[in-house]
Amino acid sequence: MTDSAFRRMTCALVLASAWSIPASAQSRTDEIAKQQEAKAQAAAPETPNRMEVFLDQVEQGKFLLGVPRGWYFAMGSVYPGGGLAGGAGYRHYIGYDSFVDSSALLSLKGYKRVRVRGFTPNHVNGRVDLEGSIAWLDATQVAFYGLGNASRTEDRANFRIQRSYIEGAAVVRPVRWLGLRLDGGIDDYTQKVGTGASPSIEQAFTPQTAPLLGDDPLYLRGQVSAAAYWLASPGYSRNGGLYSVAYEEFNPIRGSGGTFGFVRTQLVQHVPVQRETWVISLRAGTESVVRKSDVVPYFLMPTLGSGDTLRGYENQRFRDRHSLLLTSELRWFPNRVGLDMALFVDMGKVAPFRSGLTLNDLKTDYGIGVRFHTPGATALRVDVARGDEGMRLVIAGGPAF
Amino acid sequence: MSNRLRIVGRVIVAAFVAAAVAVSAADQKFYDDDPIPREPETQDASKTQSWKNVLSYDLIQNLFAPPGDPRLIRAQNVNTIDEVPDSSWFTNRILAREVSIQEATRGPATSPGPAAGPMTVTRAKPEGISPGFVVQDSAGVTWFVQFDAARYPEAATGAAMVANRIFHLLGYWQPEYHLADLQPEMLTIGPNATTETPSGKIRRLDRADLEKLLGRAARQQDGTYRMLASRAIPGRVIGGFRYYGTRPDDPNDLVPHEHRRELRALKVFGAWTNLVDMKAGNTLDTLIQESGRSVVRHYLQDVGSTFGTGALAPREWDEGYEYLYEGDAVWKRLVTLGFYRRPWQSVPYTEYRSVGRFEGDEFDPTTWKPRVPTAAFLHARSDDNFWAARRVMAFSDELIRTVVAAGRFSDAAAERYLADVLIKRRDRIGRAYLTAINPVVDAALDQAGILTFGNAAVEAEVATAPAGGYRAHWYVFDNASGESRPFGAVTATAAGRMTAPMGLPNRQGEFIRIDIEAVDPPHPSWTVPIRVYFRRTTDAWKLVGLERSLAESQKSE
Repeated sequence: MTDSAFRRMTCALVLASAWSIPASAQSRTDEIAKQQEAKAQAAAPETPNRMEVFLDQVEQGKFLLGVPRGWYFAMGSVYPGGGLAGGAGYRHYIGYDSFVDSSALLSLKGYKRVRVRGFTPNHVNGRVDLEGSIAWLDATQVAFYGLGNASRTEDRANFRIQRSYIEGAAVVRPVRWLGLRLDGGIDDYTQKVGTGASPSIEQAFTPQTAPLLGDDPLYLRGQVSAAAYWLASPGYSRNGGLYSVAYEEFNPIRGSGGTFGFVRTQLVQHVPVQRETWVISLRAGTESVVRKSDVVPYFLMPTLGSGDTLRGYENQRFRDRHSLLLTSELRWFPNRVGLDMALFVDMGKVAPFRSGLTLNDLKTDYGIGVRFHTPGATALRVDVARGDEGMRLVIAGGPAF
Repeated sequence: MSNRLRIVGRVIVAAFVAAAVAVSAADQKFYDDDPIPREPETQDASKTQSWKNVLSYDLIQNLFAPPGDPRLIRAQNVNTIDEVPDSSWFTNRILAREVSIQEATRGPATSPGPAAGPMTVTRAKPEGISPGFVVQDSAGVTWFVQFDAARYPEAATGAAMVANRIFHLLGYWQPEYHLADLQPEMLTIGPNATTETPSGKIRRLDRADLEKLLGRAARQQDGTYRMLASRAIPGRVIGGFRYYGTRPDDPNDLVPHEHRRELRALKVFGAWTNLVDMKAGNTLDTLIQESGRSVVRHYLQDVGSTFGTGALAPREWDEGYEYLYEGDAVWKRLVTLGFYRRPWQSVPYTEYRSVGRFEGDEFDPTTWKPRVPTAAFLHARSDDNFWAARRVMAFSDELIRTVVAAGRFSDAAAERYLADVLIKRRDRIGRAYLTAINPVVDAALDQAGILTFGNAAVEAEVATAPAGGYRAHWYVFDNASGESRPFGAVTATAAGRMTAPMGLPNRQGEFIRIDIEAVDPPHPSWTVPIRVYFRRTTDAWKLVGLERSLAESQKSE
């Protein structure tokens, strides 16, 4: 080995030793300082991972969650029995919290709705909300089984109803627990041949068995209602109650029949048991045509069935001039912040006369449900119910009551 | 061999000798500056950048995929005597020194609060469950102000005020909080004041916006609003800190946060005060100037979710008892129709509107839980809990009543009740954690070879003196090799004082190790000895090391 080669090798060895053996610390402070110095060489800012980026966007209202603004994906219901509907919307805010919202929805059964809605809340120190809508909807295959509690499933027919309307509403809250609502508008109804697997209504029923069948009325409509409530949130509550009464009247501008009206009452009470380990939730509701002489088109009559009424029966299974609904749930909470379960029993009936709203011959179902919720809203409700016409699955966004 | 080769050969030898010395120095157990009283921060952190904490990510990760080092190891930021040095995270106050009543009352405050006179709103904070404003007082100081919920006056502001004083005394960086009365007519809106609408739009703030926000707050009989004013924290805000990992852009942040004792100790402090909302979003890092360089200071910024109240209403029944999601409990409750019972369903409460649901009779600190599993808590061991419990026990009854008075509760019964519950919970923490491991503390060795020490459990009156007394095993300790050589006989005492056996070294720089165990049949864990190390100085023995060995079963507590 030459001197030169030996020297190079020696230098390499020394350098390697110096590199591989950490410089010694002479104090604890020195030791920590060296580690900090080493980290300083590689310090880099926090970089969010893909999941963080995604969830951040969700929190900011992108995708399906959050407050819609600008273009958004819309979900909801067009008309009872139409199934889940989806579509697009555009919301434009004006001022602090007022907005104009346009949306178009198409449901699983082909029901359609196009609507422009304006909403301006919290006037007069937060006591008054105002809203107005103009809309058109098309429900293509709404079930009609005939009137009365004894109607038969095999008699089902479908009707198609198109409704164009313009309406406005004011909600006044004079005190925290009381809401008064005044609303009214013009409703233009057009009856068409029902679609779907069942025969169209005019093939199976007549104006005698389905009042105002074939009529295309135009109504001036008005409603006044009052509700006393002490619920945590209308979308989700474990305690409190809601007692409401409403009167709605229709005056024909076009079409047969005369003025008619409805009175609707509802009592809801949630009774928490042992610190909300369980909640007994009770509801009683009636819907009634006001006067015996009132001629009410069959498609505006009170109905019961599926949704949040008699969950073990087909949608709008029972229809007549008066209805009574009694619902009870025993709810329990596997998870406080997101998951509820419920055992429920629904009872109800429809009748041609108010005196028929007795507790005899009630249609009954029972079932079990699971609900995914936030502190103030029920995002998804899945109920399985069994009545004397079989078992049914109800999937909905919103509380049963 | 040529001269050159000889020179090169000497260089090689010198290099290896130097390396050997370096290795030797690196292996020594104690340095001259041990135990360090302050965690050094030697690097400039001015390049740290603000990061955004995504609330839902933080929640989901902590609930379903607990992050952090899976090892349950000893806290990594303690000094050689098992104490937490002062740092940008923590300042030793209570227990480390006497704390006066005045200091407890004052807390982190450096001023008397917002200056009297008009206040200018510079920004509104309508979002969140606890709305508020950012204001500038007549002296130009910026304050963040929050209010009580309309139905629960004094609750949220009182809790935040009391907790602020407690966590300051415990050693955490806290914002400066004051309670003050806001006269709405004294509010003016700054020319650049903005607010965020529900749609997320930023726009100029107007009077109606202010009135909307105040409409959600509790108003006092004289028309004023009781407000919690939090002085803007000094420095540039750069996000919060997580309870795991380190901040990658802060060169001084070396110890994974789940291995920081003061963060692990929040399990005990949180249980004491029922601070259930432990999340990154309630912390704040700021970049400040210190000793001529930029360093990151870590604030436990929002400790308002304490005691029995939340921002808007009393606590949910299960808070403090269950995480937001516990798979096991969910399934059991689901299949049993809710008949799977948990303690929160039957704990009795005395409820005051300004205190909420807070009690001390059924409280069990070992089973207390925050809303979401917190990585640092999951790594807390018995020695961390012991360390924390000593600080809780250092709060005398008088001190507790003093800090509770800082909440300025108008209902004297509520104030008394809150203090009573804190006292009861303090004592339960002492009984749970001071007795769980060998509680020998404050070891000292004087020049004459008299060893003295205390018993934290006995001093706190949560245990009686060990029936079998104490035993000490004495060793000469070689700091370079780490080897210990026994000397003398085992010494024993019924109290915390004993004389060293024959053979105690007395040369400056020598080390000894003493293993002290307590013999008490009801407390078998007390026989696991603590190891204390002393270094001989010119004329005394200096405590340089303390190790609390744990029984295997205690390492994951």
